[in-house]
Amino acid sequence: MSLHSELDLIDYKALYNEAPVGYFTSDASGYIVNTNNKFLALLGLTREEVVHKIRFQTLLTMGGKIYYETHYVPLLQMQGSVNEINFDIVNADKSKVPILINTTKILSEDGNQIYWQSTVFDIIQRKRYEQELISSKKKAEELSEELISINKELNTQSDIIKKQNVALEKINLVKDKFFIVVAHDLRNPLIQLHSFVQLIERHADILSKEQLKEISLDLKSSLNNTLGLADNLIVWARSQMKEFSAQQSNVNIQEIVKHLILMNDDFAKSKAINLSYTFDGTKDIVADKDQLTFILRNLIMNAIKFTPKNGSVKVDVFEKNSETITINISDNGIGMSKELKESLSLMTVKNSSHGTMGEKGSGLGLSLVYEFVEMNNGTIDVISEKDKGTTFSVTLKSAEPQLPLSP
Amino acid sequence: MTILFSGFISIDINYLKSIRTMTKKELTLRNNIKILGYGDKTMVFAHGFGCDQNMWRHLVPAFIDSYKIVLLDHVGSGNSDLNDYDYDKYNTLQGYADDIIEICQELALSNITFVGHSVSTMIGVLASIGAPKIFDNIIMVGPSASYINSDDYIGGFIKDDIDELLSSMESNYLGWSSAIAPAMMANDDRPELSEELSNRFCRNDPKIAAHFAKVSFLSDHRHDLKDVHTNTLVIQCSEDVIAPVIVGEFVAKNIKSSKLVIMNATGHCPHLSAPDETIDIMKKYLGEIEVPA
Repeated sequence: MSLHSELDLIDYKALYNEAPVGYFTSDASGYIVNTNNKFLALLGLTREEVVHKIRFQTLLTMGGKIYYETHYVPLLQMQGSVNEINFDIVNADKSKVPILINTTKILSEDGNQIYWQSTVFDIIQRKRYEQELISSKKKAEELSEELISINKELNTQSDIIKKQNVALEKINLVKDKFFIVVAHDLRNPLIQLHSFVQLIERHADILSKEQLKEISLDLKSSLNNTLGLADNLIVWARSQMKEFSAQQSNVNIQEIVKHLILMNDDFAKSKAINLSYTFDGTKDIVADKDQLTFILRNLIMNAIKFTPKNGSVKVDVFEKNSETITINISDNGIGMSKELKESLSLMTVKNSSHGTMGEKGSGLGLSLVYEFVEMNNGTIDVISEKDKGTTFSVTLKSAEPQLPLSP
Repeated sequence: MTILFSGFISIDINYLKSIRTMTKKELTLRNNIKILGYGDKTMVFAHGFGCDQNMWRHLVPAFIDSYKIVLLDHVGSGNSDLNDYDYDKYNTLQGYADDIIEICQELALSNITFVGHSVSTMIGVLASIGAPKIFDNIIMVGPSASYINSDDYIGGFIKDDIDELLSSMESNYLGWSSAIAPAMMANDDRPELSEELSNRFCRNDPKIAAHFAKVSFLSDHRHDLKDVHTNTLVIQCSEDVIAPVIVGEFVAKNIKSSKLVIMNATGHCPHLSAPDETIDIMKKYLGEIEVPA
C-alpha cells in the first residue's frame, strides 16, 4: 500500500474529535462554534452546553479575563496568532485547570468572517513543577536578599571596627607620649637626688649643719613632688583600667581642707607662700572621699607650684545655694594662657609645665581632676589671667543637714 | 568599596536627572516618541496597560492627513527606556500624567486631542487637570475611574482578582527574558528578527509590568472627574469585562462636557477589533465639536 492511500484511510473527523489535545474554534466575539471531546472533557460540559453558548473568555478566572483582554486579544489582533499562553480554566466542578493555549486567525471560505482556531493542552503536572520552580526561585531570591543585607551589616561593622582602630591608635599615641613625659618627669628628681648625694659625698666635711638642713629640705620637697607624681600615676593607671567608680558618701569638707593645708605647709613655706582657708557653712559634701581628696590635693599643690615666692594661695569653701557647695582654690600666680585654659577640659594628657621654681608636673593630675569631678556629678570652672593668678572653682552636691537626735 | 562607589554614582545621576528638564531628544528616547503626519492639529495617542503604541496601528492612517500624530510608550512599556522607570514616580498615575504634560511642553504641542485607552484615560484626566490649556479634547476608549467594587460603586473587580492577574502575568512572560531584552530596545527596523521578537507588542519587564498592573487596577480617580473642563468623548464597548458599560456611564456622567457613545463592538480593545466603527465615532465627534451648531 502506498503512503498516499494509507493517508486516505485516516478519518479526519475522528482525528479532530478524539485527538489527545483540546481543539476549539471561536468567532470574533469569542463564542465557541466548534470543539472536540478532549476540550469538552476538560470543561466537564456537553457539546450542547458549549457550542454557540459559551465564549472562551467567560471560562477564565477574573484575573485571567483581564489578562485575556489586555494581552491575549491585542496580540492576536496584531500578530494573527499567539502561542503558549497559560490560563486557568474554571470547569463545571468550579475547579481550576491550568492550560496552555495556541491560537491562530483563520478566515471563513468566503473570506468575510474571522475565526480563531485554538489548541488547548492541560498542563496540571507541568504547572505543579513550574510552581515548585517559581517558589524555589523566590526562595533563592529571598536568600540572596538576606545575603545582601548580611553583607551590608558586615560592611557596617567593618567600618565601625576601622573607626575604632583609628581611635585606638590615637589613644595609643597619646599614651606613648604620656609615658615619655612621665619618664622624663621621674628622671628629673632622681638626677636632683643624685647630685645632692654627690654633693654630700664630696663635701660632707665642709658642709655646716645649716647647709645640710637646707639641702635636706630641698631634697624633701623634691621627693614630695615625685611621690605625688607616683601617686597620681597609680590613680591614673587604675582609672584607665576602669577600676574607678565614685563611692559616694557624706564627706566633711572642712576636715579634708584642713588636712591638706597642713600637708602642704612645708611646701608653701619653702616658697614663702601664704596658705589660708575660709569656711562659710557647715554642710557635708556628697562625693567619693578619696576622689575629693585627690581633686583638692592636686588643685592646692598646683596653686602653690604656679605661684612665685611671697605670693598667696587661698581655699574658700561656701554654700553656693541650698543644694551645692563650692570650693574655690585661688592663687595670685603666673596664670594660664588662653590656649592652656581651653585645653584643660579636653581631658588629655598634656605636656608638663614647669612651676615657678622648676617644679615638675605631667598634666596628669589635672586631667584626673576633671574626670573625678565629672564622676561625682560636679562642675569645675577656671578663671585665669596671665600673670594675675588662677581660680579653680569646684562645685559639688551638698548633703542634707543631719537632724539632731531628739532628746 | 566598588559597590558603595557605584551606588553613589547612580544617586548622583538620578539627582541630576531630577533637577533639570529633559531635552527633546531625551524625552523621545524615554517615551519612544514617534511623530507622523503634518496636520495643523495634533492627536496624541496613549496606550493602556498590557501593550504599547502598536495598538493604534489601525487608527493612525485614518487621521494622518489632518493631524500631526504623536505616538508614545509609557515608561516601562514597549520600547521606552526601562532605565527611566522610577518605582516612586510611577507609583501613581500622576507620574505618567506629568510625563504627558512634559512631552507636550517640550514638543510645543497645544490644542491637542488626547486619545487614551484603558488606564491612559485617567492619565489624560490628570494631565488635563494639571495643564488644561494644552488640551482641546479627550477621547477615552474603555475608561474606568476605579476598577474595584466598593459599597456604593461597581468597578467590576475585587482586590483578589488583581492578585490573580499578577499570577497570570507571572506565568506568561510572553517570551520576555533578560537575554532578549536588549534586542527589544533596538530592533524596530530589523524585521528579520521578527521571529525572535514575537509577542513583542505586549512583552514587558515582568517586575515593571506587575507594578504597572497594581498601580493601574488599584487606582481610584472618581473624585478627579469633576475637575475635568476639557471636552470629552467616552467610547464604550457594548460588552467589556474590564470596563463594563456601567463604569463608562459613570465616567461620562461625572465629566461636565462629555459625550458617551456605546459601540456595537465588544471587548476592551475596539481600536483593534473594530477599528472602522471606532474611527467613525471619533470623526463624527471631532466634526461635531469643530463645527459649532
